[in-house]
Amino acid sequence: MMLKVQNLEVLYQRSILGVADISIDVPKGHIVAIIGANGAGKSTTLRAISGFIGLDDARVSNGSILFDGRRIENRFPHQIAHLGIALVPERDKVFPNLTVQENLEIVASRTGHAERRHLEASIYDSFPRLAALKAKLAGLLSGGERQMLAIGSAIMCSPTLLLIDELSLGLAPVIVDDIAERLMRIRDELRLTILLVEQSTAIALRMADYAYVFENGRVVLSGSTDELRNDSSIQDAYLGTSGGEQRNYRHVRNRAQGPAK
Amino acid sequence: MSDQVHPTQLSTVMLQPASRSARTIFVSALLAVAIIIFPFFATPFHLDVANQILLASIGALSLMLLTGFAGQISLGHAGLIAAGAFTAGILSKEAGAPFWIGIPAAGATGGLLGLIFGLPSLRLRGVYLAVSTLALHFIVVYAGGEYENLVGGSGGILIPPPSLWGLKINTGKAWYVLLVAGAILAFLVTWNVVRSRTGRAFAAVHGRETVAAALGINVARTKLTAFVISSSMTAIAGALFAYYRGFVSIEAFSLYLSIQYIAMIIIGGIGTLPGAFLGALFVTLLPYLIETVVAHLPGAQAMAGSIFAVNYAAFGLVMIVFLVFEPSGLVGLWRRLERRLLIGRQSP
Amino acid sequence: MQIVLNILVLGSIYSLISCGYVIIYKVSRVLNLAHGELMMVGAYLLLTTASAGWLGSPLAAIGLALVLSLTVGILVYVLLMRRMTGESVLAAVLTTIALGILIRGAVVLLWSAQHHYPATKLHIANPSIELFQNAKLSLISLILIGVTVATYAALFAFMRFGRWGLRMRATGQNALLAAQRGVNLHAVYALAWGISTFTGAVAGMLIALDSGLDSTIVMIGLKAFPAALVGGLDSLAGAIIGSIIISASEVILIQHFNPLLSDAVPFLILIAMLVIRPWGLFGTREELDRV
Repeated sequence: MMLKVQNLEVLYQRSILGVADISIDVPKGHIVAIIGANGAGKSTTLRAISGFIGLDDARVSNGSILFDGRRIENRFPHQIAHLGIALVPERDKVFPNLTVQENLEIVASRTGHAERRHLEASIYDSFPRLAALKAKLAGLLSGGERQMLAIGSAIMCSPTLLLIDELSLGLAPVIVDDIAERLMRIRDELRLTILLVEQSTAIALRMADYAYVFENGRVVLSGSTDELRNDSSIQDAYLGTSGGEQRNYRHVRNRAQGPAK
Repeated sequence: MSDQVHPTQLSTVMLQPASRSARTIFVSALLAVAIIIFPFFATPFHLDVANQILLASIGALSLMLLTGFAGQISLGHAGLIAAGAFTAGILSKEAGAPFWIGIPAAGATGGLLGLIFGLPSLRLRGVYLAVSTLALHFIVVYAGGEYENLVGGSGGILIPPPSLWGLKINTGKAWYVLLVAGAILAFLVTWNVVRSRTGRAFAAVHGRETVAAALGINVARTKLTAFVISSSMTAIAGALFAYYRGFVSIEAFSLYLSIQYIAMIIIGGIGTLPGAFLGALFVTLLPYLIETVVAHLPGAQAMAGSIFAVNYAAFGLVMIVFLVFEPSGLVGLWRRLERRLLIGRQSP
Repeated sequence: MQIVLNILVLGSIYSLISCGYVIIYKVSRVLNLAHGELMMVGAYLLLTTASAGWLGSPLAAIGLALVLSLTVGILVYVLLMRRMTGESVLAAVLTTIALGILIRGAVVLLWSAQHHYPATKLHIANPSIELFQNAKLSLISLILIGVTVATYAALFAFMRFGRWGLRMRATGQNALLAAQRGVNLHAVYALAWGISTFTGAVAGMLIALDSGLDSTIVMIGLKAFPAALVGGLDSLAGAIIGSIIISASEVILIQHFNPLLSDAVPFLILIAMLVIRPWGLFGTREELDRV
C-alpha cells in the first residue's frame, strides 16, 4: 500500500474537529477518489496528508498516515513534498505575481538538474498551452490555465503520489475533459499514483478505480468505482439520473498505452 | 506547541466574567485590606513607589484595552501621556486652570489625538495603527519641544499642587488616596467597556476580522472607538503624572516609556485586566530591584553609569521570555500555579 | 548644489536601511521594529573587529563584521522569531520591540555608551572631496552612495533571478503553497532576516565610519521606517523613492525652517501618506487585506 490513512482525526485551533476516524488506502499505481458534499472533510484529509503550517493552526490529533510504510503525520509540508507527495490545492493554487515559468522554477525538487529539465519538458509537452504562456503572470491566467499550471508545478515536485483537491471545480466541462485527459497521459508516462478529491461524483467515478464517500467528516461508503456506479444510493444522492454520453478516462488511458500488461 | 491558547489570538477566552467564587471574594477582600492599611505603615519612599505603580496602572489599563481587547498595538503611549501632561501643564501655566479643568481637558486632547491618528487605521488592517502611533509619538514630542523652546530655555513647566474641594493634594498620602480612586475608576471604565456590546465587538475584531465583519460588526469603527477611549484615558494618566510630579518636561517622554507600557501588558498578560495591575507593579518595581542587586555586585561604582542599560536589557529579556514561554503573562502564570496547587491539595 | 548632495547622502542612508524593513515585511508580513537596533549591532561589530589587531587590514575587519552581522540576523530568526511563526502578527511585532530594547541595553553594556570612532581605529582617512564648486562630500559618504547603488542592484538581481530570491517572493505571496512546493519556509525566513540585518549593518558601519558611533544611531534606523512605508512596505523600488522623499523634505525643512523638526518630519510625511495612500507609492494594495 502506498498511502495508508488510519483513524485520522484533525483538530483546528486545538478544539474544532475537522475530520474524525478517517481510514483510506491508496494502492500504488491506482487512482483513488474521495467524494462527498461541501464540508464533508475531503479537503481537510488531503491537507492533513500534505502537511499543515503554523498559520493553519491545525494538527493531526489522532490516528496515523503511512506513506511507503513511513509515518508522516504532522510533518512540515516541505518535508512531505520531499518524500514524494505533491498537492494541487483547491484555492490559491498558483503564485499570482510569478510568471508561469517561475511557478515551475520555484519548486524545490528532490531530484537533480537533468530530471528537472526532463520533468519541465514533459509538463510543457502535456500542456502546450502553458508553453505558450511561459512569460505571463500566473495571476492573469484563466481558470483552466491555472489548473494546468497547478498540476504542472505539483508534478515538478517529482512526486510518486499526486493529491488533487477538486479537479473540476469552477471549470467548464469541456475544459475539465481536456485537462483530465492530459492528466491521465502524464500520469501514465510518470507512473503516478493519484488521490483525487472531487465534488463532481460523475467525474470522480470516471477517473478513479476506487472511491470513498465522505459525509460529515466520516467515511460512509467505499468501493470500486464500478460497484459504486451501480449503487442506487450513490446514483440518487450524487449522480442524479445520468443520461447521455459517459466518457471513461481509463479507457482513454488504455488506448494510449496499448493493451494492459 | 503548548496547549495554552495564545492570548493575542483568542482573547475571548479571558473575557468571560470570572466566576464569583468564594476564592475571588477572599482575594479581593485581602487586597482591599492591604490597600487600605498600606499608607499607615509606608515610608514616604514606599508611598512614592506605590503612587508610581498606581499611575502606571491607569496607563497600562488603557493600553490593555487597545492591545489586549482590540488587538492593536500603540507605540505612541508615551506621546499620549506627554500630550496629557502638557495639556494640564500649559493650561495651568498659561491660564491658571485648576485640576478639575486640567484633567478633562487632557482627556479631550487625548481623545482628539486618538481620533486623528486612529483615522488611517480605519482603512487598514493589522499593525498599521502601530505605525501611525509611532508618528504620533514623534510629532507630540516635537510639539512639546517647540513649546518649551518658545517659553524659553528647556526648563519645562512647573505646576502647582492641585486642590479638590478646597483640599490641597500635596502629600504622598493624599496622592495615594486620589490615585487609588483614579485606578479603581479606570478599572471600572475599562471593565465596563470590555463587558459592553462594544467590548464584545472588540473581542470579535481581535479574533477574526472577517468573521467580525460577517457578523455585522463595523470593524473599523470599533477599532477607532477603542483607540479613542484608550487615548483619552492615557492622556488623563499623563495629566495626573504631571500634577503628581509638579513639573513637566518633554525629556521624560521617550520611546522607552512606550516600550515600558508595552512591557507591562505583555508581562501582566495580554487580554486580562488584572494583568494591567500586575504588569504595572512588575515594571515599576524592576528598576528598583535591579538597582539593589547591582549595588551589591562587585564593581558597583563602575556600573552606576550604565544602570539604564541594565534596565533596558532586563526589560527586553523579560518581555521575550514572557512572549515565548508564557504568552498569557503573570496572570497566566498565576492561574497555572493555582491549578497545580489545587490539584496537589486534592491528591496528596 | 550642496543641498542636493546632502539629500543624496541622506537618501542613500535611508535607502540602505529601509530595504531591510521591506525584505522582512515582503517575505513574512512582520514589521521588524528592531531593525534600527540590528543595524547598530552591525556597526558595533565593526568596532570590535577593528580592535582585533590580528586581522591586518581594514577590509578584513569590515568583511568579518559583515559575516558576523549576517550570522546575527539568521540567529535572530532561528533562536527567536521562529517561535513566533504561526502566532499572530501582533505577537511577532511585540517580539521585535522586545528584541530592540534588549539590544539597546546589551550594546551599551558590551561596548559602553561612549562615542566611538571606528574609522580612526581602522586608520581610514575620510577627506572632504569637492565634487562641484562649493559642494563638498566626505569620501565615506561618496562610498556610501556607491554601496547603496550596488546593494540595490544586487538585491534586484537576486529577487528577480536568484533561486532563493524567487522562493522569497513566492513565500511572501503564499507561504503555504511555497511549503507545499517543497520550499523550507524556515530557511527562507532565516535568509530574509540574514539579508535584512546584513544590509542594515552595511549602513550602520558606513554611518559609523563617517561620523562616529553611539547608540543614537538607532534613531536613524527608526527614521528609515517611514521611508519604507511611504514607498510601499513590499516594494524595494518604493524604498528608494520613499527614502529620497523623506531625506529631501528633512534636509530642506531643517535648512530653511527649524532643526528641531529633524525627528518629526519623516513621521509627519508618514502620517500624510497613511491618510492619502496607506499602501504607499509602490506598494500592493491588496497586501493590506491579508495582514
